[in-house]
Amino acid sequence: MKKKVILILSLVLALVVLAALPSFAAAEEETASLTLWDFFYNGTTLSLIGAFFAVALSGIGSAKGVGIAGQTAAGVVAEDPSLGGKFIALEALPATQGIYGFVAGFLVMIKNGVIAGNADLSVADGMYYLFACLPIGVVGLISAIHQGKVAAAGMQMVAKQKDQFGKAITYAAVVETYAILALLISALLIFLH
Amino acid sequence: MAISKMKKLFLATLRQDEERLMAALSWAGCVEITPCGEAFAGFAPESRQKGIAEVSVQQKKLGDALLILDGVLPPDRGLFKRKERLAQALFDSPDKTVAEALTLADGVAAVAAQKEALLLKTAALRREIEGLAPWCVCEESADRMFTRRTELLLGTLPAACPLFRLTAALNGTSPETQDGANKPSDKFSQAKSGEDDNAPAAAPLAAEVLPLFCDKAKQYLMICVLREDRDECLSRLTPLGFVRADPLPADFSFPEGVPHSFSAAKDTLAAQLATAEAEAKACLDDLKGRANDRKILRQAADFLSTKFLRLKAADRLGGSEHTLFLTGWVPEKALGRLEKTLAPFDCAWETEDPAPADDVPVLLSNKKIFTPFESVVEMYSLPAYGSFDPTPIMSVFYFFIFGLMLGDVVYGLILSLACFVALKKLDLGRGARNLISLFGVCGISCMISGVIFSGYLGNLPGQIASSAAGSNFAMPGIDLLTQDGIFIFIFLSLGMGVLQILTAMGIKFYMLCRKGEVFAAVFDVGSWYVIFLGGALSVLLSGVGQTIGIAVLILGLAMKITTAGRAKKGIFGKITGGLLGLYDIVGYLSDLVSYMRIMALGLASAVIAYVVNILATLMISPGFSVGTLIGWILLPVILLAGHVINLALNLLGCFVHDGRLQYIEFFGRFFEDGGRPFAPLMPEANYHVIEREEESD
Repeated sequence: MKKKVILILSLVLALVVLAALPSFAAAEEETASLTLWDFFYNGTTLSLIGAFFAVALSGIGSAKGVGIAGQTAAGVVAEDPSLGGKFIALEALPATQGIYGFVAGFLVMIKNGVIAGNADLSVADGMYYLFACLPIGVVGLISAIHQGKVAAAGMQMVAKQKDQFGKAITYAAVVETYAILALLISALLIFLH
Repeated sequence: MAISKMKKLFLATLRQDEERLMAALSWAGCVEITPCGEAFAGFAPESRQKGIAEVSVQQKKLGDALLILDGVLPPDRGLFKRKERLAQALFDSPDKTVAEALTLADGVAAVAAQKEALLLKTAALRREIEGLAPWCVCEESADRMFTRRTELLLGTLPAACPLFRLTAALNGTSPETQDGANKPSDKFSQAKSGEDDNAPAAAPLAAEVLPLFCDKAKQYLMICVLREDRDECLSRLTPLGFVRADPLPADFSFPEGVPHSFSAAKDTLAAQLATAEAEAKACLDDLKGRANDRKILRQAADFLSTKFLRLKAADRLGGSEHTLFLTGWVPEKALGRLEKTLAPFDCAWETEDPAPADDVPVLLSNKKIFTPFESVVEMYSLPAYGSFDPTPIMSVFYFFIFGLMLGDVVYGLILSLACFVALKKLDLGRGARNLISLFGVCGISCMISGVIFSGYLGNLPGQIASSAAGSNFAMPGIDLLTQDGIFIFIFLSLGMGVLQILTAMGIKFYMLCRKGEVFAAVFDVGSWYVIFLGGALSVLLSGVGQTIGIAVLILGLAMKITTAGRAKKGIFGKITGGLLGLYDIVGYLSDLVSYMRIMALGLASAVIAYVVNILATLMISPGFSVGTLIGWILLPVILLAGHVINLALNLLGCFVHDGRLQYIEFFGRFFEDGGRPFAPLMPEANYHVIEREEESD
């Protein structure tokens, strides 16, 4: 997991460096012609890369978290089918991170003008959005996986103690706090720009 | 609003009234019968234990029969099917129905057992027919495979063993000498060749090998040998993998007038199979025709489960040979009902207040509008007896937070209507009823905040107007997806948090005072109020107000630091304890931030609704090439699918996170959990709804 995060962060850093390069180039030769370079390294594209990080990372996390919880649910429900309905709620808990990432990604699309059809951002603005998306992306990825594990453990608890469902849900929901805080910061950063 | 006050009930009556009394109490449904304790437990009639055992045997019998019938009959139960009504009076005289049902259950079990036996038989017959099939080429008389001097041996050989090895073994020569240079290369003969080289050549046997049939695994052979050579022949062939076969089943005999051949035997077995299958089918049809039996069985099953509960409860009674003594719990507000119930009995009864050491059961009783919210509390834990029932206060917060998280007029309307219809049309248990009413009530809250934040299926009206007509129409209200809107929403979320945390502290203050710990209330909780008040004043006001605020803040801090460590020993401990008490401010801050989830969930539902609307109205926008008519057809399809998914996802989120806010941020400050739920003696029916003569609340 740590390796993945480091990989993601270094990817972002590389993008920053690459994005800074054209400004050096522009200082040397002041030509206005649009190159392939400009096509990739402009504000709109950078902000969309940010939206990609928000949606993709938290989506991966949610998929993994729901997957973990779903496997346990299938195992426990095989023993006691009456728990099936309750476990859908527990299984779906880690799905919210993916939604938060989606929300952040979509807010970027509203703000950078892609939806309105007048997207024209400076590289600095694009970079701003890219970084604004990182909190929910990274935190969503990791918190969803851990929430999935807690939800799975909660299912095993409910299998033994049927009346403890409320607590199982609460334990899993506590993990989500940090994804919510991350979404808060991401959303505020996007809105405030 | 509160936890129902319980009374300890003592009741003495005549033993002959036992059954009647249990029936009456179970209909009243307001008495939890407890084991009456050593002092009165002198007499326990054997017949009661026998009765309990008998009823559980009967229940098992009916349950098994119902299981069999449910397996073959079409299902007629489910969430959306109404249960049948059954009059209350029937439950008190169930013997006739039960006796009838037991006979029916025996019948069902007998037919089912017969069916099972027939199915086993058909499976065995199929196997036998299959085993017989390869031998059908043999036209010899199947039950007379010998003459005076010769015998026919039937048997199989692995398919991998070439026939010439067999004949070579019979002739007493090794295959190598017979075939000369043309040495067979298959592994079977190689494995054997080592032994054969050393074995001395044996005398040839007079035998004839007739291959009958061959499949992937085996060759089916008939070997004709002299009687005296039979054992020698078998001993030579067995190492090659020859196995004698007896194709006819052990208990098979040919019917009269049928040629004694294998194929005739196969036909006979096939005829038997057909008969057995027909009989099994007849059994199945018989079971399928018992839909009416199932009804009676279910009635009896419900009667028995109620009877079982009554017997179990009666088992806790004490008394002597002719008297009966009952102890239990009854809610104070149900005393009137109990009095009415007990009026026809010759009994003496009294109630008293619970002693502090008693394990008092907990029953929440709130005004009708708050009862749905009891399920939220119960899902966490019941409050301990004598503590505080937070249901009414929590209801208000739960209601508004739910609305903020899912603020949309149409979603709320759908939710309320669906729940209303479900309550009217479905037979639900108490738990499910409460939960559905909870969602129904919260739907109203969604509508309220939908009006404030202009949520009508997200921004659908405006979106359609701008796509279809290009106008700038928007419903009145605050648009959530603007900078101002989001800040108002954040303010509301945090405001809700501040309110709820302050309320929780207030409840804690009240509970401490009620316990007589006024000192703790003032210094542990009151000091925080002073700190918060001072903090708020000094931030919000200016000039003199601010100075006063700062003074109040300092006073509060001083209160905290000087008193928080009062339980510690030594001056050093008291000072560190006081400073550590201030550390709780972190807890308050993190709890407050936790309320931001209201904004997160509200934003999530609004944004997804927005996306669905954009996708849907894309179909009718002038630039899109689908065509106007098809666009207008696709529009509702996309809207329906998208908004149903959004509603379902967010309902789950709201339910979970609204509950979590109550459990951790609100209950965490004052709640004393661990209440034991009140479990009165009640009638029980799984398959029916009991039609009560007199409705109890």
